[in-house]
Amino acid sequence: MAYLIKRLLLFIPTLIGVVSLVFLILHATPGSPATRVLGEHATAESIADLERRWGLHRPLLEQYVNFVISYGQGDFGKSYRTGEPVLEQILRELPYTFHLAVAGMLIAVVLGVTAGVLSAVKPNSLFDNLGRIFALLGVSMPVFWSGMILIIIFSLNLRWFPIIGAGDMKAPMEILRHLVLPATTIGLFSTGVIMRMTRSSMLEVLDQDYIRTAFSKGISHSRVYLKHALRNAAIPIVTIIGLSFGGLLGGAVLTETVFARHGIGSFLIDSITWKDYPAAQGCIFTISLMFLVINLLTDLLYGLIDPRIRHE
Amino acid sequence: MKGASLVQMLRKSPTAVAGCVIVALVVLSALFAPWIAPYSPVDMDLYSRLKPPSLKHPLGTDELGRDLLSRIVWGARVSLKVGVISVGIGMTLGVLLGLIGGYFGGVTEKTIFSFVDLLLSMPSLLLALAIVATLGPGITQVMVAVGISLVPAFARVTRGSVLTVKEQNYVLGAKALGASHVDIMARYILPNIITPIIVLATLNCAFALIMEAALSFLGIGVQPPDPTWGSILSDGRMTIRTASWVSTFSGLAITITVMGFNLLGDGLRDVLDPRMRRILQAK
Repeated sequence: MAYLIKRLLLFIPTLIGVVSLVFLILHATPGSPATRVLGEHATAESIADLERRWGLHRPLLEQYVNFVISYGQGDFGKSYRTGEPVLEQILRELPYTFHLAVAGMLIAVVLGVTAGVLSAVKPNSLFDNLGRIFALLGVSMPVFWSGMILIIIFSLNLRWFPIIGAGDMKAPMEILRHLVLPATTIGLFSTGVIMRMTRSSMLEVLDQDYIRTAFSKGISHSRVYLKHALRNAAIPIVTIIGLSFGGLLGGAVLTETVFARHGIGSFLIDSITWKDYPAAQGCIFTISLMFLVINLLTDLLYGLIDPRIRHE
Repeated sequence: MKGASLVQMLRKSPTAVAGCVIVALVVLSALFAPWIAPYSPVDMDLYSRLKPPSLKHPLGTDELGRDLLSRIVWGARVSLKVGVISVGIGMTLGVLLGLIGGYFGGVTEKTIFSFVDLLLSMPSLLLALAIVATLGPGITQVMVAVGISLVPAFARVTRGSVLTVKEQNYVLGAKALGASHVDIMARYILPNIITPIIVLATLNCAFALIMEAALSFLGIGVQPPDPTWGSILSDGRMTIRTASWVSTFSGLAITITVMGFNLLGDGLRDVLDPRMRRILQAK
């Protein structure tokens, strides 16, 4: 419990740090955001008017404090483009990105860990070599290209899955049909990363004396691999799964664009294109928050996997 | 390790050899682009729009009738330039921060690494996107954005290495002889921690190429008329139903190059890792 409280307390300054970074990104560059939105040919009056409306005429420190307080209260401001509260828009888009990220991670973890364990169990076998080539391809293929290749094969030629969109949120089968290709696309990259880490971590553990002892005691192979080896190899695997989630969220931005899906990623790109800074800041914060929560859960999982970490 | 023995070790690693060959081919095609490319990468021929691969256009043409092979060969120049300079920016800043933080420790280290950890709390692509969103699209902006997103990795690796080296006798000896801090960092510490930095730089070249392609693909990276692999791929998305070769070949160029850098980085890491070096030497 004390471990959980300590981790949660550490989460607060990190969160304030992220809000500060989001604020800094917009304000650290020369020139007013109002000038960037209105363009070079805007008159001084219109720029000053816009700055007053957005509160940019106030001292920087005051702007920063107001920004942090309003984010703390869940107020992400209003979209410059639509005038709607940014939080409402984000909450509307969030389920689409959530589905994509969870499905992608599920594919990556199941495929990556299974292939990694099998590769390590029989190193330098045909399966191991094929697995390593697949993993290398996975980490080398940009997600936006693998998405397009999947569209060409499975949507345009075989016509198995829809090309674009996310389907009707009220029809679960529709959602699933629309999710298969994007989730596979987004999961492929992480599969490669997770497989490589699982393989190397398992190889290291399988070389330990206690594994040899377990085998010599006559314990079944599957039990030794899954209970004795995988559990001890789990910390680096869990770490890489947590870190892969960051890449996966970045990949969501690209995948949603390729498949023209709804979601925070495509909303962010739209906001950047339209120079809608409050919306872009809200999206960046939300995605970072998701990443931080996953990192926090990963840290908490360490404690479950290895009791020594909990007691430190 | 001396240069000659490093080359010998690299030759024993098939991964490194494969990576070296791929990277060398891409670099050579980028350097000799004016001689290799059959056409100009920007010249349009509206009578030859979206032509499939043929003898006249080995990789076909795009929606404006531009020769795809020429665009991919010239694109290698821009993509490699962005990749290498971004890694240069990330490496310079990251190594500097890691070196100063690791060497001085205490408050300096805490301050520097609070900032570095903050950068790490955001997915890299998101950080690069946020920076480009503020700076605006363009080749320099992309290099800065990708470079900054690489800083945390270099800073952390450098600090880790500095912490192990700074207590060594030769560093303590230099201190005792009155060498300045800058002198110690530049002449005694940096040369002894350069190996992991080189490996990271090679692997990050692959990462930077993907990031550049991603930003250009999203339309907020390098702007036309400069051809980059990401922008060619983005153009190909519009014609995916009628001319799939545009996206296929440009994506293949990115994948092969990224794979080359990954193989080279993996090979370098294996060769420069003392445990792995012993295994390779025994073979």
